[in-house]
Amino acid sequence: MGVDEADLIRRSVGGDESAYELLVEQHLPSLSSYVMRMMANAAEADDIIQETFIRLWTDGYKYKPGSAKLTTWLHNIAHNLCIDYFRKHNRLIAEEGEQPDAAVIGPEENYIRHSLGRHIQGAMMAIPERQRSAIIMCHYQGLSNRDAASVIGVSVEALESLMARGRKKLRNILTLDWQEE
Amino acid sequence: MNIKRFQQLLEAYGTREENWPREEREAARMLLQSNSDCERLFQQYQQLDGYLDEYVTRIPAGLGEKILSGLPMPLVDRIISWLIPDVKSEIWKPAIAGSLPLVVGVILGTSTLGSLLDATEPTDNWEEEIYLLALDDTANGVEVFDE
Repeated sequence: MGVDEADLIRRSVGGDESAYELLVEQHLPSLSSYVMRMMANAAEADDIIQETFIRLWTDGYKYKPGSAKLTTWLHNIAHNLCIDYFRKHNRLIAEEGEQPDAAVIGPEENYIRHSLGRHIQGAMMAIPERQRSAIIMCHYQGLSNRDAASVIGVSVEALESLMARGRKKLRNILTLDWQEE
Repeated sequence: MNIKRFQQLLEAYGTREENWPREEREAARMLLQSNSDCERLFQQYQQLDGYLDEYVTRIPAGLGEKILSGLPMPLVDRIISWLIPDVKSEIWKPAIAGSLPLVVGVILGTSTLGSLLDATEPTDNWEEEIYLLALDDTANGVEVFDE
């Protein structure tokens, strides 16, 4: 058991940079894993990860340890920043639309798919953001369904619906990809 | 737990048991072990999880340092940097920060003292002079004798 996280947050809010540094160290791997899978573009992901941690420094006093885990709180900030970014750049994908096709993934990415990871990344970027976020949080991040639902701001039933639709689309895209090759 | 709910779990959470809702995990596991239809469904959904696991990410090099160096400065530091942009020494910062209240005090003190001095100076306003004369007893013809 390491240093008490609540104490680190309290010290960080008080301006203690060493406490803040420890918090960054603890949460950077998980948060970068989430944001990088949400954004796919390294530069955009960098900006959002940085902004999320700046919020921890400037708005850390808003975090209430009793109401949620710090990782859930940080995921919530990162999720909102990602969605805002896509909205600002008109890149939101409609949730109730047709099955996304290969063109959504981008022509250059079609040429550089030299690994399975690239396939998955392309497919992930082709599904609507909230579905992607739900799948990332439950599959990769290890968040509970309740925590993931609270990050997205939906009920657990709605979260399950988002994930089921997202996974179905992923299966369809990936099956199409491999049939083409 | 029934087959319908089991399938819903697979559709939403996939085939990783640790990703299933905690309260349903044991029941789902039991059903999977005892029902061949569930086992068939499970295998059907397993492929996607295998693919998802291939998508790995790495923390960008130097990102942690970038985050720490990009922190917004506290207000006092920002004022100091604005006043004296070339201050690099950490020793001078607390000294300058400590002297800030002194500077503010001197400015406030000077302005307050100035206004107090103004109040004691003789007025050259003729209206005020007439008003003061009106209050003077000698103006009403009352003689004041010194004893």
